[in-house]
Amino acid sequence: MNAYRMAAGVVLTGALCLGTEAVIYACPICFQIEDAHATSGIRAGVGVLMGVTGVVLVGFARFATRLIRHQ
Amino acid sequence: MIIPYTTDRRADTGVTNVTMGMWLFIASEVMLFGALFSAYALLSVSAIDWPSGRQTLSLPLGAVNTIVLIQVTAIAWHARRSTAIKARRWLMTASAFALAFLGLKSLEYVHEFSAGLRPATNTFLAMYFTLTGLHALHVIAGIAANVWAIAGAARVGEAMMAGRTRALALYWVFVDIVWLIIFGLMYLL
Repeated sequence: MNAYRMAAGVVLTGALCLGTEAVIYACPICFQIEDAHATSGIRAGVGVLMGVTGVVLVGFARFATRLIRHQ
Repeated sequence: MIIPYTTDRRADTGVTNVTMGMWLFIASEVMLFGALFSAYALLSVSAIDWPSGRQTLSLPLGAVNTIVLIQVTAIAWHARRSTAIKARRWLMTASAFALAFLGLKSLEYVHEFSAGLRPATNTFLAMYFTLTGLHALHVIAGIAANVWAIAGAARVGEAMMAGRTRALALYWVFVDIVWLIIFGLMYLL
């Protein structure tokens, strides 16, 4: 029964691949397209988040250093 | 039930417990707004066409609101070095300015909605309403905290009131900095 279902799935997928004419758009981030808008956007977003996280972590590190010094 | 507390500056942290708590709260708030600014950077850089805030929003209203909010912070900062009675008066004045900020912001929202500028119009406006709306909620929370401190001033004594005023001054500085970033990103760019 399972082999029958698997074979049906393969046939259906193959038929869909051959029968459809739609253009498939690749994700620019997954395919590492450097000059795409989405890639630049992700870079900017991650950069801002890392900057903000870095500032908060530096604050915590400075506080921890102060606590250790005053122990 | 009385929860034991101290208003003295601790030798190990260098600050009072109230100030320490406020710094930790601000750190969590920085992460909250940081995530939204990160989303703004991602969406604006990813977009092929991003609207100009200077052309979409009211720059004069935004500029006046910036001045009003700077006044709130300046007054709250001044209050931290005053006696409890004077601090009460300063906090009342700061709250009045904060209410003026909210009034102007509401007026701006009414103008925008009547011009058909809604969160669903485009991604820029969705981010604008999210960021300014969340910031306005922080202003409302600040007014509530001011009122709470004013109401308790006569009851809690000089030392505790000084701690509360210091914490409120820190909070208003944070709210002001967030607004300045929003103003720079949304109204000027």
